[in-house]
Amino acid sequence: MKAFPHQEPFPENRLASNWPIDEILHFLVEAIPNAALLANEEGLILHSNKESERLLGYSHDELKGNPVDALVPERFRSQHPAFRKSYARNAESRPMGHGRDLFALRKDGSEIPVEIGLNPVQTAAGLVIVAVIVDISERKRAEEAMQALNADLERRVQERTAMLQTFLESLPGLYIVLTPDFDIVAASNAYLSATMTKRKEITGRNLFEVFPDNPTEGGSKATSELRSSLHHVLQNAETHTMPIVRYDIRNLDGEFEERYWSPINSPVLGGSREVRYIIHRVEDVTAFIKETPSATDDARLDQILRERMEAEIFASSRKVQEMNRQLEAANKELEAFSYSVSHDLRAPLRAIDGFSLAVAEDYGPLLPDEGRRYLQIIREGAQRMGTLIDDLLTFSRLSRRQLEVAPIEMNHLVHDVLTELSPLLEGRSVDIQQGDLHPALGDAALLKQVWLNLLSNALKYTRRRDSALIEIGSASQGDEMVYFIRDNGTGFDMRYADKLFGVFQRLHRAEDFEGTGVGLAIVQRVVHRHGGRVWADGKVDHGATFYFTLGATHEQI
Amino acid sequence: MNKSEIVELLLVEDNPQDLELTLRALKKANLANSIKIARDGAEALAFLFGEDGQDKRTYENGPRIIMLDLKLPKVDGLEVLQRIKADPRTQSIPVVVLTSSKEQIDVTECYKLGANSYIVKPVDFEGFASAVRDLGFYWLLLNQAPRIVG
Repeated sequence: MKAFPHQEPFPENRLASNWPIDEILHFLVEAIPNAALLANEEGLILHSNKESERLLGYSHDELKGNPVDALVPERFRSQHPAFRKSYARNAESRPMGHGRDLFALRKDGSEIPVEIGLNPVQTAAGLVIVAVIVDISERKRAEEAMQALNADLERRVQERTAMLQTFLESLPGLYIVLTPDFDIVAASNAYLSATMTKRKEITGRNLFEVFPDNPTEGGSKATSELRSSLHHVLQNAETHTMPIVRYDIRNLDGEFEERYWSPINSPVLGGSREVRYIIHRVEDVTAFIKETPSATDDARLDQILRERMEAEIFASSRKVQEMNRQLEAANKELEAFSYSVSHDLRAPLRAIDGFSLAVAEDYGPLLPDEGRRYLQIIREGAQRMGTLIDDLLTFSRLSRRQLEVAPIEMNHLVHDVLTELSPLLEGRSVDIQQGDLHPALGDAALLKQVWLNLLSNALKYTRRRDSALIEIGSASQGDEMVYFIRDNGTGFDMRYADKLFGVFQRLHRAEDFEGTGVGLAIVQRVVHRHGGRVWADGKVDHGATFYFTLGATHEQI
Repeated sequence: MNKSEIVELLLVEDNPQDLELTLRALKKANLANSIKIARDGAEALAFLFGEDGQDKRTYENGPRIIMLDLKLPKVDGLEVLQRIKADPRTQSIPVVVLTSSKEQIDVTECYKLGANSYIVKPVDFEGFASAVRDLGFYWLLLNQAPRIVG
């Protein structure tokens, strides 16, 4: 047997039956490894051991003869004598306090949490109570720490759970988590919004209670397929993908909306591979289904497309009609304007010219030569303005005239133009070399005007040549046919080439070569209206070449 | 019947300067003997058909020729032309249309309505005067207008 850890050796000679009980008690109290006190029925301390003196901070003498009540904290002290008396009447070995937290008051005024065991011993001198006091400060501290740890753990678990909940709820997919009984534990926000349900309405309820048989299609296999898929997951503990199903959703107005879903059910396994939860994930494929025509939908799709196209065609034809109407109105306005110009602008000019002539005729003899010359200048000015107005009107008329496109024998057309211009050839030596001209598609009257203007220009600007040379031809260039007129006339400065085709733009002085500056503008306008281009090449005193195309129209002949 | 009552030419012209120049040209050609002038379409119609349009007058005394400007106030030249050519009493009177317009649509319309000649009044007055002279001679002197004998 192990020796007790205190200083006094066991008194072997006193192990006799006549050893007085109080001595034995003293000895035993000292032997207890905890603090212990002996007290009498009145609550006076008879003896204290070394451990109790250390725990309570009192010396042996300070304790002995004093009431135990003094060791009870003041707030409990008044009740203590009653407890004591009650114990003395029914003395037995038991813990003191009946579940109350007990505290001992130390000499320095501090309190320590304690557990106290009470043991009654009958002696000749009366009842002696052995009180064993255990300091439980460490245990209390450990308990508190444990509680704090537990609370912290609990909080962290709650936080983590909430976070997981938030994760699940925020997942972009459509998820619900089911128990093996198919009760809904959690749902993602996307799922709620797609199914038009609220979390509190469905959580805790059975899936098949929340989403009963498809109401619009009684014969739908959706529900039974879902049920069998979930059972498959439960039995095999493996993920199961379901075919796309139609399941209509009742919207907030109480009406059903046609919806198509692609569901996948996956198990969440516990430690022993049992299915703890099922994650039911669905993808809303309504848009995909509706845009992907099945064979039977083809006709309907065609119908929709045709209707759409018809609507678009109708809208654009309406637009075209409206623009045509506006164009017609604009053309009418322009016609009225030209008509008015041709009448009203000419009348005053006629008066200027007519009365100048009248003056010259009636009073000419009375006028000095200079006066008659002035009258002549007035008349020339008026007449020139008349010509300008006429040319401008021609230009405007050609611009808005409807194109009457037909195949044109260019050779014939140019021949006719040259015949018309033959008066200009009188008394001149002009060599006109006409190559074979490719036929064209175009408006004969307008193209005749083009040739007329270009050829009369060529004749005009070769007037000072002793022998004028004019070449006419056509050549294919890419997919275009290029027509050209080359002359050996005055030519022009290429620096001003861009001014050639402007209205009223002239590169020559009127006294050198007459003209209004409208001819080439007309040429350009007509060529452009045919979708072609016109350009010129020249050098001062070395002639000019004019080219024009009519788009790719020659290909169509 | 008094010779002065005979109207050889009805000139319908609103522009006073054009009117004066036309008269001058006619006078120079000695064609200005008996000319009735109307300054707008309504006046021309009133002269030809009476104010109420029911005039029972005969046309023995002319006009033997009508020179008609197209652009007229009130009733325009085309309408006057149409009325002349639609009425059996006047439809045989030659009508020479005088106009500043070279617009093809006018020319076509005038001939469609039965105009006998068409003179574009050019800015160059000499050209106009000679055209008036030539046409005047032609219709008044060379061409025998049908006479309606009452």
